[in-house]
Amino acid sequence: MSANTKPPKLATWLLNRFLRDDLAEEVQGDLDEKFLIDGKTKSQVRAKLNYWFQVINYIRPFAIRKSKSSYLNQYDMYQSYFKIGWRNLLHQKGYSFINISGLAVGMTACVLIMLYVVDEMSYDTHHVDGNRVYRISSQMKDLKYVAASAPIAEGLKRDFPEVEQSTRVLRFPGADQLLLKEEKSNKQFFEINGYYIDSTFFQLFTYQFKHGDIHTALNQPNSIILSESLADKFFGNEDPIDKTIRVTLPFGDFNYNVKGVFKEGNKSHIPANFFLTMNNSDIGGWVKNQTNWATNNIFYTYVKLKTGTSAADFESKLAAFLDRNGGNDMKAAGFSKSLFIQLMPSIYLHSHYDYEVAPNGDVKYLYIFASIAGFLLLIACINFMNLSTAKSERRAKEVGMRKVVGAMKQALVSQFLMESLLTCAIAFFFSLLLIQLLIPPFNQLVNKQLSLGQLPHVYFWLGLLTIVTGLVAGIYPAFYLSSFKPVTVLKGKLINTFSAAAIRKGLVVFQFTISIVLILGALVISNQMDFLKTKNLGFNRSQQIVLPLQTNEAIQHAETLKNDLLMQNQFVSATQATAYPGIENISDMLFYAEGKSVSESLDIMLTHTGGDYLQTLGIELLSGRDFLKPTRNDSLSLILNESAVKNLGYTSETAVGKNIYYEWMEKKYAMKIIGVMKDYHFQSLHQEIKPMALTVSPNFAGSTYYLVLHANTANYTELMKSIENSWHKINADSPFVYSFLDGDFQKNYEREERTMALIRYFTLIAIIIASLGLFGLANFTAEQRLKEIGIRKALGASVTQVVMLLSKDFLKLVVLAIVLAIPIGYFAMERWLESFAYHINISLSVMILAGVFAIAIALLTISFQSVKAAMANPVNSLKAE
Amino acid sequence: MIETRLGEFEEVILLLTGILGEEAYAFKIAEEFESQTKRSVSIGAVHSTLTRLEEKGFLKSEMGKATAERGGRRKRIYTITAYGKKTLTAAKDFKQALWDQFPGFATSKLSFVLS
Repeated sequence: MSANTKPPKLATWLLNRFLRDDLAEEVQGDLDEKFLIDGKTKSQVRAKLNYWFQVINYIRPFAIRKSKSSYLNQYDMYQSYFKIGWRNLLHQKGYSFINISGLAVGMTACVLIMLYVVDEMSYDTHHVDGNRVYRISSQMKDLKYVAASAPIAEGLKRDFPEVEQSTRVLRFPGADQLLLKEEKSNKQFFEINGYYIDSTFFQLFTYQFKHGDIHTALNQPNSIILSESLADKFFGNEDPIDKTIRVTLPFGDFNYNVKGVFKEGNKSHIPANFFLTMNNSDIGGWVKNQTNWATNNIFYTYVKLKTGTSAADFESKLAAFLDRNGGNDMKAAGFSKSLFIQLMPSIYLHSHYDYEVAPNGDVKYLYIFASIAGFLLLIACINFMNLSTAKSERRAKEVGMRKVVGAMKQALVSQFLMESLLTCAIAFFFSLLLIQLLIPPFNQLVNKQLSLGQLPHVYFWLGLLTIVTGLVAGIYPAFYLSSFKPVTVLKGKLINTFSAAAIRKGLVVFQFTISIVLILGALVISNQMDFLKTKNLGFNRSQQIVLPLQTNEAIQHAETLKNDLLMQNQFVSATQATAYPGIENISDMLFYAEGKSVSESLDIMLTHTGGDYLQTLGIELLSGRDFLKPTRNDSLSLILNESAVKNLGYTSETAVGKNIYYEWMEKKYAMKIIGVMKDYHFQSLHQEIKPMALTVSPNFAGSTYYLVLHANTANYTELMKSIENSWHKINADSPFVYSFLDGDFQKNYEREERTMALIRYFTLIAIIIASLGLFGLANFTAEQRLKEIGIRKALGASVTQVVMLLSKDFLKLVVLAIVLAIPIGYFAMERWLESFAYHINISLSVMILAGVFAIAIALLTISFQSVKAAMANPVNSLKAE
Repeated sequence: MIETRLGEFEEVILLLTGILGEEAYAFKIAEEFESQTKRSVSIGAVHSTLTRLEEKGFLKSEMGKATAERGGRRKRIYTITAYGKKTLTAAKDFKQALWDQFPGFATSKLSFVLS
């Protein structure tokens, strides 16, 4: 028999475990013969399965080895274990409380985190051929950009036989929400997450349609596909198919026909609320004209490879493909780029580049959270271990007696394991209640809709969690307790061995190390968040109100509105712009300085403004001047930031008056630098300040506008009312929406804020559980040393000395934990801080604070017991015996 | 007390043991059972029954020869005892007696009445 035609080893092992020795030869022979014949007529898997089936069918009374223990009535013994275990729990209420509450809280944290992790991992796992779908992303120098130029999708389909299908997704550049109107019911909503898609989209991405036909839904131009909830909002119970929805864009209104409604529930890195066909009457014409292979890298491009295609091979051919088709375009545009692929289902957790479809999750955080959850549960398990071994004296006599009357070690092990399982089962019951109680606030915290029901086989997993926890917590105490020698323990010798005490200390150090790392983490995160909130960004972020101008009407009347508002004396200044600090700005252009060539160009971000931008946002002008009013005379002028000037090879003094150049459609244009502004953070502090320019030139006008108002009053209720009134007076048909600039800027840190909140709660939980355990141990020590303390006091020791004596041992452990935790925490948090281009340094004071905090908590926990013991009258402890 | 009556499964196994003769060991009997009755059965179930039949005295067994496909292990060959044969015949006769009383087979009588 060759290696893989052997019967499954585990099954053979199992058979030998239970089978009577005198049957072994014939039975094994029979089964081997059967397996051999099966192997010839059926598949290996079937043969092996059948072998298992045969083995399990030998578990019959006649074939089972008669072991000694099977003469015992196990059931009665289990009943007894259960009873004794239950009595022990009731007898030591304090310890039971510590164990059960710790385990319950630990399990609750674990389950909540698991729900979160499972949810995060479920993104894009539902697509039928998801593991063959890749996104084509671009790389320019060290900038990775997850979209590509328009013609690439079609080119890939044409040039590569291994590409089964390709598709593109486009989000309306700069607009995070679109206004949708339904004429008949006169309902209108601003909706986020709308995407333009190619007609092949549903061949790569799996969706279930509630209404309409998924195969033909995208065939006609100007079709819109709605999510279930959006369809519900517009049409209620009516059939929405072929109804018309009017989409408002900055340059006009466009009618779309509803051709489908998709079911929600599956999560994707494209968090679509509705889809519009790319073939349409608004941007459709522009999209069709996008034939340049180098520029406008804003099309998310996906390909589905044929089964059996090697993705690496495919990726390696992309360089030649791009060069062949887009070489000339890239040369004309003066830059080069390369393409790389990303496996679609892994995008959500693993892709963190520029211009993502929507903010993604991060697998790093999943690891962090999952390990924290595991550690919390472990801390609770350690409490159980420590308290059980510490209190073992109580059980020693019982163990001795049981052994004397014939209990075997195995039986005792199973007894103690049963007790730990019992404790865990009770803890699990409480944790179920806690989970139900905590899911709503937890959902709010993580901004999700989680529920126990969404986990597949949830009760199996919860049961498994309980059993595993019970085993982890119980296995060490069970072996420890059952190893007592009856002679020793019945003689009344002290059985707290040195090794058990050492292990206990080690475990306490472990618990506190984890707690201190968490404390340090929480402190560093909150310091960094404070830093983000208070750092001088180079502009004035408070009292700035932003009105998005999203309809044609609003854009036309922007100037009127601005003047109307400025007359009310509640504003310092106001400006129109295509972007304001904190939001995504995608327009840029390659410029080069006088005497340089296009190949030496610098990528400069552009913000198109209507003047007064510097004044409204309070950005400092270092040299030169602001744009003239009216701005039309400055249409060939630029105001650069320091970083742009420096990268072009000038200083803020020498730059003013110089021309810089860009090329477009093989023509050269000049722009004059009229001013240099101080670097300000127009992006979040995750990123370095990039070269950037302000312009009033219509050539660089973007598609969307915002009106930014700098208020000089803090009475926002009044202010907002008057703004709204003016808005409705001037823009009768456009809904009024606003936001605050500081809030929008802060949105960049949403993930960090969420992490901070979660870590804070985890830290609190870890501290509570670890303190509970320490409290129990301190109580135990004080109890054990009752007589010693009595004698010491009788001989003249003061209360302080006794407290010191009792606390010293534990404090040593905590100090050791601090020594271990600080470097671990330091390196972990350094890594986290690296994700910000601008961050705090972890100062010594933070580390000291974390250490002091840990010592304070430990002291507080122990002092209660030590003081109680030290204050006790020595007579009481010494008179007995 | 040992039960001496034959169950249906026991009867079939006993018969198969007789049919297979020299080749009557648990695995072969199970195979034969499956091919003759088109019912699936585990070797364990057959083995269990064989043991029971042996206890009842219908069968006796001894270790047979080893073969390569069994990894050099010997097999236990079962043979029917005289008592076993007697019980089988008795069971068959009993059933035949019952069949004889079964009305469906008395067609001749029926036609007799009709004519």
